[in-house]
Amino acid sequence: MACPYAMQMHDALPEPTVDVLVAGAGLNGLTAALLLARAGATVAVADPSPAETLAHPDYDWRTTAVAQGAMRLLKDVGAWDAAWRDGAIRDIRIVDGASPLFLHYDGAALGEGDLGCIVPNASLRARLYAAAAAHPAIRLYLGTGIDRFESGAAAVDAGLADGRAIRARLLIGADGRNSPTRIAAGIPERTIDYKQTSIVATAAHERPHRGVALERFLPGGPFAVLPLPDAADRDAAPWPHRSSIVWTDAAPLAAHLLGLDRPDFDRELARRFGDHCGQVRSIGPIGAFPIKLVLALRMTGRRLALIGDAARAIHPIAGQGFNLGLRDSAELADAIGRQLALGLDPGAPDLLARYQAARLADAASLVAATDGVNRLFSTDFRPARHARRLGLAAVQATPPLKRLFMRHAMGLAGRAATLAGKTPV
Amino acid sequence: MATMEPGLVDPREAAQFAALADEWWNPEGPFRPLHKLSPVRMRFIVEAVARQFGRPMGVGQMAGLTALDIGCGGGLASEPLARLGARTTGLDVTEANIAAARAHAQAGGLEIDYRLQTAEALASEGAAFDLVVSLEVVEHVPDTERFLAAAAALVAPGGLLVLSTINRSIKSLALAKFAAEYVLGWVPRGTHDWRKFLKPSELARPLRAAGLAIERVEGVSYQPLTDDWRLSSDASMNYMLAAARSL
Repeated sequence: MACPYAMQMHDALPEPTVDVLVAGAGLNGLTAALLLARAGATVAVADPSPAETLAHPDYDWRTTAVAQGAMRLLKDVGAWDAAWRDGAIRDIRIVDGASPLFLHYDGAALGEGDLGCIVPNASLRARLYAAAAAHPAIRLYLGTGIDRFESGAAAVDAGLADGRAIRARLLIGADGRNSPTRIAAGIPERTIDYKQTSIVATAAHERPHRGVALERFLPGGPFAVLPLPDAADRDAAPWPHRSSIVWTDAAPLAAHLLGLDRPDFDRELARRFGDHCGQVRSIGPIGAFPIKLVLALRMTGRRLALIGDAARAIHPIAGQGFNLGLRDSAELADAIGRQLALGLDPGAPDLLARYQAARLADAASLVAATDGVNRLFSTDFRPARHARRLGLAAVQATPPLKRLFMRHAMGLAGRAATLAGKTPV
Repeated sequence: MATMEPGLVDPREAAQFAALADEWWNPEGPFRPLHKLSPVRMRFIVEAVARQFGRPMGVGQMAGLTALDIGCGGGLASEPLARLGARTTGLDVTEANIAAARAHAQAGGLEIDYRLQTAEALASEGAAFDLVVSLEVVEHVPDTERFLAAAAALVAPGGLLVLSTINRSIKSLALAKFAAEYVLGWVPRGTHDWRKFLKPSELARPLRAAGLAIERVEGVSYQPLTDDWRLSSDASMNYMLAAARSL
């Protein structure tokens, strides 16, 4: 059928119309694409980075804490690697400074197995990418970002940087904390600058970590040690055992630390790491990320939904960023699956309104909790120190409260989306 | 008529039709009540299709089936049918509706054959479809018996007819007529003539006479607390009916 109306709108040859166009092929964008495809939607994913860059291990050498609920979803979409079990967290110890009091999360006490896994971003992305590339309902447009988009009554029309045009019924902004999609849609955000920097590094240590994650609250910010799989080579120098370090400190101090020679940096690292794994030394690149809370004031627009960091980038203190984004995707995919089964529009305003209502509550409580925890712990103010010591001791002494904390760390608490296959808690 | 051929639309007229399409498809606009009804109407249809054709509910459920939407308006039912995979035809007797429906389907990348035609005229051509739907239409047609005979004739052997309408009861007089038109302002005043509302038995009789078997009747009830509609056993107000033609 000739369609002069459409030809006026696009000079480029139109690509097939899809249900959902995802802006961003990051961890959240790819996971969303897989969950949506599983729910029956046709999906396009566009990202300015080419596939080679996205797949390159040096592109992103950070790690992600994958909570148990998220692990199940990744398994469901065929993006789970059994080898990641080596990075399983079997125990979480939360330590207040140098205090002997600590909060001890033990996975076995919950009867739900491991508390989660620390997964290198590069391998998680590679798995997600492979699953998405192999999925017949997903088309990847890599190396070409979305230049512009226009939301209409029937569809959203997006123009890619390479001149191609994609028509979709819903656009999902999964393009990170500085989301160009959110900015183009004119959705305002609020930013809280913590004036802290997270130093991210990989540590090699003499003795195995035995699956213990450590979060040490120091006055400058939390110092987290997350268990990684051992090096493949048992004779790797200097030692084969690996942990990921997320070291948050006041911005000026972090800048100073980053300027140190490697031996001096390692001395500072070892001082905070402790000696429970023997000698410790940093290996590979060291990265720095300024800590900001970015909160979009709306999660939706006309034929637009924001997920993950594009909706709200939280303090990494609880390791919940990826898991929160995953719950966004699960909620959205669930709603869209039900909508498509009735033949209804996956970009309909009532669907988006329900998505926003469902997700704002979860996100707001976690944002408030991680923000509050960070403020409580990042201080030398004496009453606060007392309060948190008492608090930790109280949590430790109260099994039901402890279980609640653990369930939060595992990403199981709250209103679990039905896709997660979990009865809401 | 010539101006209705695709590709021969006057650009100014096309803009007007696009504006009307926006009206039809604005969930907060004048057609809000129909938008609110959409999920429950589609649920009844996909469940009836699941039973009649042995196709489980889900994406692509109607792939390979032909569907006809009589009185399609802006395409609020035609588009879901097409999205579920049915090769869909939409009929309406109002030219502006057909143009608006075409504009919206085109903008949404859906292929739907919209025609400015009556059901009676299409039936006289001998056309037949696996699925025929006519939603909130029968209470507006001038000759009910003739309309229902035509709708039934358009159902292919083994096919399904789904109708939705409003019962003629004291409750519907109070609620569908007075409350909806005068109190809640859901629909324009004078939209409905209560005397033309049909009881399920009055709808069923001409369909049986035309060789269809009544498969199911379900009520559509408004839930004031959640402001939405549910299928229910109470057919005293809005209701839906599915009828099948045997092979």
